[in-house]
Amino acid sequence: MREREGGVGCHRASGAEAFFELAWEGGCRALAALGVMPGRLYDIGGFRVRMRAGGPMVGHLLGAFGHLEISPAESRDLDILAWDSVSSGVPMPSPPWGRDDYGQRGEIRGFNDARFMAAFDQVGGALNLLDRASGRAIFWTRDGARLPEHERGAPFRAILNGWLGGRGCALAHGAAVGAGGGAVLLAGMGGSGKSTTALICVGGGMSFLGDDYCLLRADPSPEVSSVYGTAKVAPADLARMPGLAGRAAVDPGVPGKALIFLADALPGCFARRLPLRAVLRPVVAGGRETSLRAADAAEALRALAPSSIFQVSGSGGGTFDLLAGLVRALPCYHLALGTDFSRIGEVVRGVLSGVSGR
Amino acid sequence: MVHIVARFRVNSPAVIHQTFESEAVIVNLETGDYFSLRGSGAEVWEAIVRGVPEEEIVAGLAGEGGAGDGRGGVGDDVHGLFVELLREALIVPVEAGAIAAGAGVRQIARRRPYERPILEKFTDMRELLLLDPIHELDEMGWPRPAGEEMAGER
Repeated sequence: MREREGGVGCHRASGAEAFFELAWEGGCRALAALGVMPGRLYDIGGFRVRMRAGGPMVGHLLGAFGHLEISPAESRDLDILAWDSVSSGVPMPSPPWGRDDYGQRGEIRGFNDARFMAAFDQVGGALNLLDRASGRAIFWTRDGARLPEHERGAPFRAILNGWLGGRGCALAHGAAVGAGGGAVLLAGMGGSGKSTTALICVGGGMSFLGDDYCLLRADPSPEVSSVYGTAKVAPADLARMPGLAGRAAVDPGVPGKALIFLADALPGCFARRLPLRAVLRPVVAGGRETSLRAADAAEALRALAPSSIFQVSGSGGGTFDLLAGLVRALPCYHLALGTDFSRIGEVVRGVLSGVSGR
Repeated sequence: MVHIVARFRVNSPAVIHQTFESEAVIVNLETGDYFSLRGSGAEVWEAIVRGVPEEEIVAGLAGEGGAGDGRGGVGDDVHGLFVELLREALIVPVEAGAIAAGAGVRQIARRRPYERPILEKFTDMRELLLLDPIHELDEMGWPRPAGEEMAGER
C-alpha cells in the first residue's frame, strides 16, 4: 500500500477498514437515536460535502458552514457523520490501537495510508476518521457539549484536509478577504493581526472567505475557497470595527478572543471562491499609519507554511509544496498594521487594485 | 590509497524543504522546528539535495570569482553548517550503497558572490506537537481530553 504524507504504512489495513465500519455503524445508530434528519449539503471548494450531526454537535459544528449550504441533492463527494456518545447513548467501540500509537500531530500510527486517515485531537478529545475510497468520514467525541472552541470555530480540519489534499487543495492557516473579483491571503501566526485585518476589511465592504483557515489551490491558477464562516476577535477590537460593532454577540464571560458566527452578524459578507491575487504578511507595527512593502517568497512561505502544517493533522510535504507554488506565483507583501483602523481596508483594497491586472 | 568522502542526504520524509533564490526554508516535521538558511547556505542546501559531497561544495564556492576569504574560510563555514544541519537532524549520512544515485551531478549552482551561510532556527511550532505520551485512558480505551475530570462523566 502506498504511503501518504504525514502517515505511515498501514500494517493493519484490514483492521482500519473493520474499525471504520464499526465506527460508522455506531454513528448511524447514534444519529437514529437522536432523530437526525438526512443531513445538510455544503459547497466546499466546489465539492459537495454532506454533514450529519446530532444533539449538541449540530449547533457546535455545523454552524461554521452555514454560509456554504446548498440545496439538498442525491449526489455528494464526501459524507461526514458527526456524533457523540453522551447525547446519543451509543459508545464508540474501543480503539484497535494502543496508547503508544498516537503520533505527535495526532495521527494514529498504522492507520494512515492511501485509503484511510485516522487522527485523534488530544486537546479536544475528538477522533477523526476518513475513508477516501468510499468518501465517508467520522468525527466523534465523547461529549459534544464539551467541544472546545477551536473545534467549534473550525470543525473537521483533519478530515477536510485529508480528503481535499488528494484533490489538489490544502487547508491553510490564514485569513482571506476579497474585492473586485480577487482575494488576498493574510498569513501569519496567531497575534499577527490577520483576523483583525480581515474583519476590518469585511466591515468596510470587502467579502469574507476566512479568518483562520482557508482552502487553497495552485492549479490551474491560484484560488482561495471559504471553509468556515467564523471569526475570532478581541472584544476591544470588535468595538472599533465599522459594520461589526454592536452586531456581533460576544460572551463577556469568555476570556481571550470571542468566536463570532458571521452569518448572523453580516449575512451578506461571504464569497465562496475567488482567484487569489496576493499574499500579505500582517504585523502589528504600532504606528498610526498602515504601510506595505514587498516581501520575498521565502518570507511569505515561512509565515504561511509552519502553522498550516502543524495545526492540521496529516499536513506535510504536499501542503508545503502547494503553498510554495503559491508564494512563487503571487506577489507577497509585508503589511505593517497601524492603529488607525480606517486606513487598513484602503491599503488592502489597494493591493487588489494594483495586482488585479496580473 | 582509498579516499573516503562523507556524503549526506536530506533527512526525508521527516524533513521537507523549498529552495528560493536566496533562502532555503526547511521544516523538521518530527521536532516542529523550522529553519531559514540564507547567504550561500541556500546554494549549499541545493547541492546537498543533489548529492554533492561537502568537499566539492567547498571547492565550488571557493572557486574562481567565489569567496573573498579563500578556500580555508569557506571550508570552515561549510563544515560548520554541516555540523549544524546534522545536529538538527536535517541531514543524515548516506549509507555506502546509496551513493550511486547522487553521483555524477557534482556542480553547485553558483548564483551570487559567496556569503557566509546563516541557519536561523524557529521553535514556535513545538507547542503544537504532542510531546508527552498519552497516559490516561477511559474505560473504553480512549484518551481523556486534557483537563477532563473523571467525576464529571455521565
